[in-house]
Amino acid sequence: MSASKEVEILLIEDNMNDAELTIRALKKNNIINTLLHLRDGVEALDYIFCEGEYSDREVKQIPKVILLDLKMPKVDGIEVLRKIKADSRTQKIPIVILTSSREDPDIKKCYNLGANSYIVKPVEFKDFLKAVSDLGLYWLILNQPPV
Amino acid sequence: MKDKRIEGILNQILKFIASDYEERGKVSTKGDEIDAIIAGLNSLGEELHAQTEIQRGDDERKKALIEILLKFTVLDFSESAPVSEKGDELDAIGAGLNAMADEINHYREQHEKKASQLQATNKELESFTYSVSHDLRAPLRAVHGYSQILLEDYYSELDKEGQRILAQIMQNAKKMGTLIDNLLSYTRIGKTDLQKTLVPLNELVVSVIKEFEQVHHHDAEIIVLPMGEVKADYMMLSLVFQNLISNAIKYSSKEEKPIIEIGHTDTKKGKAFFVKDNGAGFDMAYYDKLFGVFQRLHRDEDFEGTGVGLAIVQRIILRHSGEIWAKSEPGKGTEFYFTIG
Repeated sequence: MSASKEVEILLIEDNMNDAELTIRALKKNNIINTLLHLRDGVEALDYIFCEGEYSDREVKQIPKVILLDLKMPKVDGIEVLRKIKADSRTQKIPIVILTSSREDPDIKKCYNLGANSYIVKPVEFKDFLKAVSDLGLYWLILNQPPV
Repeated sequence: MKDKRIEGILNQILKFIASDYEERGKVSTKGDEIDAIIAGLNSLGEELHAQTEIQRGDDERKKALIEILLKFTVLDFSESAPVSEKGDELDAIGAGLNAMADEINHYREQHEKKASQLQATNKELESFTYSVSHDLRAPLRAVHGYSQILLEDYYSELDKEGQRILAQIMQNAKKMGTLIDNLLSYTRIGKTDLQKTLVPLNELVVSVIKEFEQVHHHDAEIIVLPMGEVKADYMMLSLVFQNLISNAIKYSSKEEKPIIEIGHTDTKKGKAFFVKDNGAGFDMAYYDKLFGVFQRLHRDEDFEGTGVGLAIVQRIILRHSGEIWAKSEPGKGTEFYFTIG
């Protein structure tokens, strides 16, 4: 998928299995066309703040929602979240945390940092639906299935 | 003419009578009997003075020893008793007290050291369990997720045996997920602070039963007797009843008329709450395994379970300084009792 296209869902996930299963869950529900998958926190920050490989992007081209895994090598999800929420250009992007369990103590930390919602992995479509509708993004993200 | 020295002698004697032994008469050059008396009185004064000093010193030492003892009574062993070079009884007492305090302080230090070591080990173990359970989830998700893909996209291509095997894989992945969840909540109990409030037990038990019935069907008759209130952490106490009641329902599910009774009774250990069932029961020979993590007293094909529920229950009761015990007989049912400290 090309990064130049307008990205609606940014998936930041280092585990390729989790990413594949997440993308599949969304694809099965017709919402794959605008998703970009980035594999770690460094890549994510480069993309969001248009640095390195993504220096030709503009920061104002913001995704409609970011799905963010917490446990990643080098720069973890918490750090990515902190940086996005600390920058006035990006702080309004809704961020949905991908977590391993409902009992993850990091969930609270994420909410304190300004995360908007969370989904327990593997991404159940109904959980995704709830997160998206919680954020009021329902019609922006979900393509209507063909009638 | 009256000898002035007599006046001095009288004065000195009067002072001695008043316990003032400082006065000394002057011995003249005459060297007569009067001088001899003066000299005698002077040395008597010296002697009395010396003895008073000793007495005063001993009083001080006794006072110091009593102060140390008073501190002992409030378990303060931080100060040591004065020991002089005289080597008398008071010194023996002082030395004895010091030896005692040293011994106590030594044990106290050792105890504190061990307690903090134990705390550190516990913490380490908990965070280890936590991160292991957390990391175990990722491959498990993949196992379950990819099996799901097989189920959704390739099911028709599998023959009957292939479909059965897939179902087994998914069932086991799901079970491992439950195990990990239970393990996580077990470790969490050790980590969370208790938030004690006055808990109305009947209200709590009724809501636990309602919640259970929303998800599971059962045929048991559940009798809830009045239990009053108890000071405890509401969420944790619901977890106790959730586990005990769902166990009671599970192990009595094969009875003709399953009956569960919940209430309280007076025991030697104080007011105890109970959950009784008329179910399968267990052999008391294995009682020491009852509350162990991952320990089970029934085969999975008879009664499904992860072996964490009662470990969680016991941990919560211990955190409330209470006690839990059980009585059972195979085929007759099980009775669980617990107190809240």
